[in-house]
Amino acid sequence: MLFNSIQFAVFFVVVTALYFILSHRFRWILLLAASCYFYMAFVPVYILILGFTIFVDYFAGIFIQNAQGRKRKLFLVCSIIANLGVLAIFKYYNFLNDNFSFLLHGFALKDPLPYISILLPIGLSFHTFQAMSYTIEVYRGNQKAERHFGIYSLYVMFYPQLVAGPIERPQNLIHQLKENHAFDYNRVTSGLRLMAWGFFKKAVIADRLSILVDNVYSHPQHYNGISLVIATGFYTYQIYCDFSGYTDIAIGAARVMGIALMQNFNNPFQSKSLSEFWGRWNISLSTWFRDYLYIPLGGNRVSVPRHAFNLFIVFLIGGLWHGASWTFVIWGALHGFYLVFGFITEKPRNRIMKVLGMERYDIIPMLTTFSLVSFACIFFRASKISDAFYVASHVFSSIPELFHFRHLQHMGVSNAYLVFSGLLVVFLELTQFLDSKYSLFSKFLKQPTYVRWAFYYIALFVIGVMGVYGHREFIYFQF
Amino acid sequence: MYTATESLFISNFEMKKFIIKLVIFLIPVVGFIALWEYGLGKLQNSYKLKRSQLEAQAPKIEVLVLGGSFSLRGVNPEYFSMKGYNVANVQQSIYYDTRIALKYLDKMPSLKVVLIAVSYNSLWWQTENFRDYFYADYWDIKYPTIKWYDLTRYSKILQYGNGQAINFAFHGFKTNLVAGYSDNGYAYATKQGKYNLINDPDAEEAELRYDKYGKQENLYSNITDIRSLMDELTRRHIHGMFFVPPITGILSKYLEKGKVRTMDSLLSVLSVEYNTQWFNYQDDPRFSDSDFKNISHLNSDGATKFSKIINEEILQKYTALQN
Repeated sequence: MLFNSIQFAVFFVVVTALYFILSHRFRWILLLAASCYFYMAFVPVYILILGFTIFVDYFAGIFIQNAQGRKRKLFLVCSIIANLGVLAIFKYYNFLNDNFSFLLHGFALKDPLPYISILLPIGLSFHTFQAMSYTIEVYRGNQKAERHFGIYSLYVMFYPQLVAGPIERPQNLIHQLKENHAFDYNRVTSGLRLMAWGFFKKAVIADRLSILVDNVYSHPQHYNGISLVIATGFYTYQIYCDFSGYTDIAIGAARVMGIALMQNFNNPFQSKSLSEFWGRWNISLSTWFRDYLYIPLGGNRVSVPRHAFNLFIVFLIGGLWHGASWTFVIWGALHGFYLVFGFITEKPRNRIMKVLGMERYDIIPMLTTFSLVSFACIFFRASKISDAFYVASHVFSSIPELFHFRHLQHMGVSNAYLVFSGLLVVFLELTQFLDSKYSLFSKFLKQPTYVRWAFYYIALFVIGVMGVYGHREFIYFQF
Repeated sequence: MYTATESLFISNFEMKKFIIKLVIFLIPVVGFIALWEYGLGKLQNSYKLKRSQLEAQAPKIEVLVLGGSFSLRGVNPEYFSMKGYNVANVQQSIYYDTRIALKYLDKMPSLKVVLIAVSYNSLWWQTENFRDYFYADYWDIKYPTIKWYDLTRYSKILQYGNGQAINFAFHGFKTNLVAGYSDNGYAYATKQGKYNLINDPDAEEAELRYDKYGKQENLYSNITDIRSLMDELTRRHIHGMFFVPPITGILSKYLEKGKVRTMDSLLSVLSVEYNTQWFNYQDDPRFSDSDFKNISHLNSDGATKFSKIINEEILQKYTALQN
């Protein structure tokens, strides 16, 4: 079930109404049943895979807590193997098989392992990581093992964040699932407002930008120069609005029910460096990698080469986490390289900026960061590695033709579409900038009712009229 | 801190406050949507028009023409020697052709001939897009993928899509969606325009589009549908015949030859099976580029020429045989 569908609107209203009607004792049953229904709306049988990891991790948590010494580690390892095993089979098996076959091709061995024709269970990487964070936190002693099987299942399956995060930590979510959340007018309306903002970002901005992006990236070889630059820039905003839009809807829906999910985005395109960007983009995933991979590898409390290795390997795995394809591996490697290069050259770069008197201008590092992120996005978006290399090698050829607008005619969209899409991006950045600088949203809430309601009507109209609809999935659902 | 009873009281109070405010907030929204739906409901479109025309003319119809846009824009029953009606529509698949015909057979007592257009890709094609909702809504023919709880089935805003729906509203719901449609179901097509060129890229793109939307699994169900229609026509002593409409030579060059051969042999098999004929005008040399609106659709001159050919080579021969 997609958040941007009529079915979800009905589902949300029914589940939320029942949630507040029901006594606190029965709410976990409602939420668990609703979450199962939500998940089964995609591919019903895959609930069994989810059930398997829930079953394993539930008992692993209890065993880890009750065990002593090496046994604790053994149970943790078993849980991690079970979780990663599911990921390996459903997400990476065919990818590994393809590469293995390619390598063995030279020895006249073709297809040594059978190809499995399976669909990737939706949101598998998200809920697997969330489940793993539970057993790791129990192992570390930061979280007590949850005895209530229903509550633990709900921790993994809570429908707002089940398929695309934010990847929660047990310390933040489990206790909230047990608490009684009364109906709070301000909290409910705040959640609904956030959901509306998420719908706006998804339907009005992301899905509109995707029209041009899809046109160009479906046949990148038909395009050159400025078309590729615009499509790539638009894709960077598309993926941001798509994913952060999903997150806003998820956080808003949970907030309505009194459950606070962690923040996942914080104006990432205002970042002045790649390391700052990763502190503002997909925060729940980047902190997951920080807590459970980067720090155990030694983090930055090691030698410089080892620190660089740690950074690079974390992002390489991060790339692979997104998808079983070389394009994602290269995307991760590029981000790893950016960070390593940024950390090694930080001091000389700062000195140069100071000498040139440019350290006061935030816009330069912000634009540089955005350009680097966008360049990496080429590999994130391209469906084939050859397409990605074509785009990557041709984006720079655009500089001489930057103002030759006749080239824009070939992207399958009108000039009005281009101008409107550009204005939407400007509107988004301006709104976010003003809100972060001048608390625009808090000021809006202090306005009289008629002003706020007029704005809500306009917002509803804009979402309804300017949105692009028709079964457009969220990009991160595939992970 | 509040006691449990106080919390419950506050919670209930806040919920009531929320529900009242929500209802007040939604009243204008619901009113606005209702007006919008009403305005869109009044719009004339090809589905609504064709159904009303077919129902009004059904008792007198002797020749019924089925098919997609090739037929819609290519066959004008005005040039038939018998009373004809062209029920073809844009992207109308065999699924809907056969169901529309079967649905109205009882109401067409004079019906003698049904002309079934089978263009390249027809046998592999099923609509499966927004048009399914229009068939469900205006023809009461439901495609299996449309569920009863699918709101698009009941909402004109969702059927037209928000962009179109707002465009119609801005024009006071006076947009003419059936410009060029005649009483006999034929839709007039202008000559070539700026965006309707007959050239290689357009032909190549069209072929790619056919390949993209044509599916092997549709072949079986389309043949089954044709058979069910032909069975019923045979039972009623109505003559069902197939024809392949003309296309430009440039498009013909790009069509997949294997698929063309499969279509030809399937039509031959069906013709033998039902003791009927099929007429292939796909590469008919009597048509040149000047007869076409674009790479695949006849313009009004081409339609006149083609309709006269159908009349002479199919309908008059049929009449002669009957006499």
